[in-house]
Amino acid sequence: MREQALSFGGRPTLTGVVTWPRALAPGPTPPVTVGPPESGILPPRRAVRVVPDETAAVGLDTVGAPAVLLLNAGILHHVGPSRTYVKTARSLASLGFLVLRFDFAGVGDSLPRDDNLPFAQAAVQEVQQAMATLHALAGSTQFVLVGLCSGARVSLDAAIHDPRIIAAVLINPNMHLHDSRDEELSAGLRNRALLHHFQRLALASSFGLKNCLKTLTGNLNWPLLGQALRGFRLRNPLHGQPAGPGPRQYALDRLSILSARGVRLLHIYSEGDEGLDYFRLLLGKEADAQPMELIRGANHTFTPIWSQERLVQVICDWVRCSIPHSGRETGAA
Amino acid sequence: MSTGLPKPRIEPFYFGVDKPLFGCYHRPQSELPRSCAVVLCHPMGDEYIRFHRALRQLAVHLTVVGFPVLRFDFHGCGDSAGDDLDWRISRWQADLGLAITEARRRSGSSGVALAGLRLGATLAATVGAERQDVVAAALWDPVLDGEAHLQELQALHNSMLRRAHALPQSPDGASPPPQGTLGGMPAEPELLGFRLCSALRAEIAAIDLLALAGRPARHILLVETSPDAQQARFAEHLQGLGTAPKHIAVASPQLWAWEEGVAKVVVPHSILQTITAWLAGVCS
Repeated sequence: MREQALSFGGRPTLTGVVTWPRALAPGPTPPVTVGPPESGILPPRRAVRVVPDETAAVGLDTVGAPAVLLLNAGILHHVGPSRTYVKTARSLASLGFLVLRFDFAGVGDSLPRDDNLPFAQAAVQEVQQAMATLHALAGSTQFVLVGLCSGARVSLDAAIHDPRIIAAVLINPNMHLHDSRDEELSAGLRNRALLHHFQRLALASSFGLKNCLKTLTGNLNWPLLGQALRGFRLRNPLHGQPAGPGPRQYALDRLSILSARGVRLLHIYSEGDEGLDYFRLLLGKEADAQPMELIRGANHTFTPIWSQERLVQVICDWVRCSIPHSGRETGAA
Repeated sequence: MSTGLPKPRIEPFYFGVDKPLFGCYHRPQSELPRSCAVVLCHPMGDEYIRFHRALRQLAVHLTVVGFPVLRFDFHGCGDSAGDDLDWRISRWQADLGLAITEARRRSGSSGVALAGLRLGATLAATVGAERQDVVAAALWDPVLDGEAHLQELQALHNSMLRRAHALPQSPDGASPPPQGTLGGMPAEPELLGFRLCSALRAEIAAIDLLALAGRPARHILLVETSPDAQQARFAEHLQGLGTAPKHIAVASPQLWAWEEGVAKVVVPHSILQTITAWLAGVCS
């Protein structure tokens, strides 16, 4: 396993770290600057490896081996909360996967954009630049996206837009499946989901006793609880919608676009995360049909170390079992 | 690898023997670049995550006034090799020495200035005291008393456990050993998402900057964000070492408190501007 600094994307210049599995990158790895890549879909090609101290490339028998991209969690840079992205990348590389964790424009070590493209569109474009860069570096033609929070939302959007993406791991996504352009719907869903969130945490979670103590000691998040209670006054956003498929069907349609293409999707939720309540509220019984792993006792950013280890284990187990890859390593690098 | 592309304003790279350390070199953006490079020293653990953007912004401010800047990650931190079980004060001090050499080599600078936050500031002070080429040191809330620092971190960790929807152990029992680099690690005490091994705990507990024997730099800025009588005593101690430190207080309570969320980074602009203006004034 080796790590290599990477600048790519032209304008803006994006920064990341490639974690090479041992089989792909023996020897020292100098930093690499890759020029502006094409953002279109690239044809399959023979794999290449950047050779240390030279610009020559040699062929490897890794054509089609999927690469993994880790996408920023909010504005935390590419090491992830509590360095979980570093641990995830190294663990996936020990399984034989090439991994890139990089910063979107304006985040972490990447420069800001000089256009006015909204983040949602810019992020998908930058994911495509990252994929083109890995294609140029290692011949990767298929990709797995992994992201936490907003990184999960971008992962889903990019997977819908780009057929090179064959799988995505969405960690604690929230408000990611409905039509977010409908602001009233978004507000209604958020407040309703918060209400479900507090009910679940108080009555049916591993945190029950802890939340009683929090109430007694005044440690409750009162502003958030107040927002949840305001959800009572709003109509149920899942009832009485005007003509059209409705938010639940809209969400299911988005998911079916991916399943029709054979894209594998895993949701991972922390027990303490309100995104879980949004997911269950919006999808109803259909939520049970979606591949989902629940990590009990964990918070949104997986602060306790046991929860970080569990997260990395869930991601690695799922990627290893779900993604065909002939070039796996037999042991940790 | 030569591509014919213009050199980027920020250049990420690995350096050191076997290249274990990750750095970002920021090229000066002024038409009159300075002859002094600045090396930025991150804090550790959760503070590293939350203040990464602050030091990145500090680097940008410094390049605008002509400084070449190197930000880097200590061993076992950020993008550098290793993990939190490898954390050692002595290793980090050696890392800082390598970073100073790398910053001077890349920039061609004759002198170097250090700017550090919390434990990073403590490392800057101790390493600077052993060298002759450190022109200036901006020490932002340096850890003066290691034992008090450990107690503060433990209190923050306990507060996190009280406030967050997180349990200290898995409710499903012990997690099986995970794949890859995390497998088989011994259980160690943890603080806000990072392990604290007993060797590092002992090293931190032994920190006492009031016993520093040499001056960290010719020019020293001491930035204090919460009232602490120890900082004033440290300023007096530095005077006794033959320097005239500038000691400023910028009231910013709660800077170190743990916050849930992926947007809870801290960028205190007034402190960044203060450090930038001060370095621009004392370094050529």
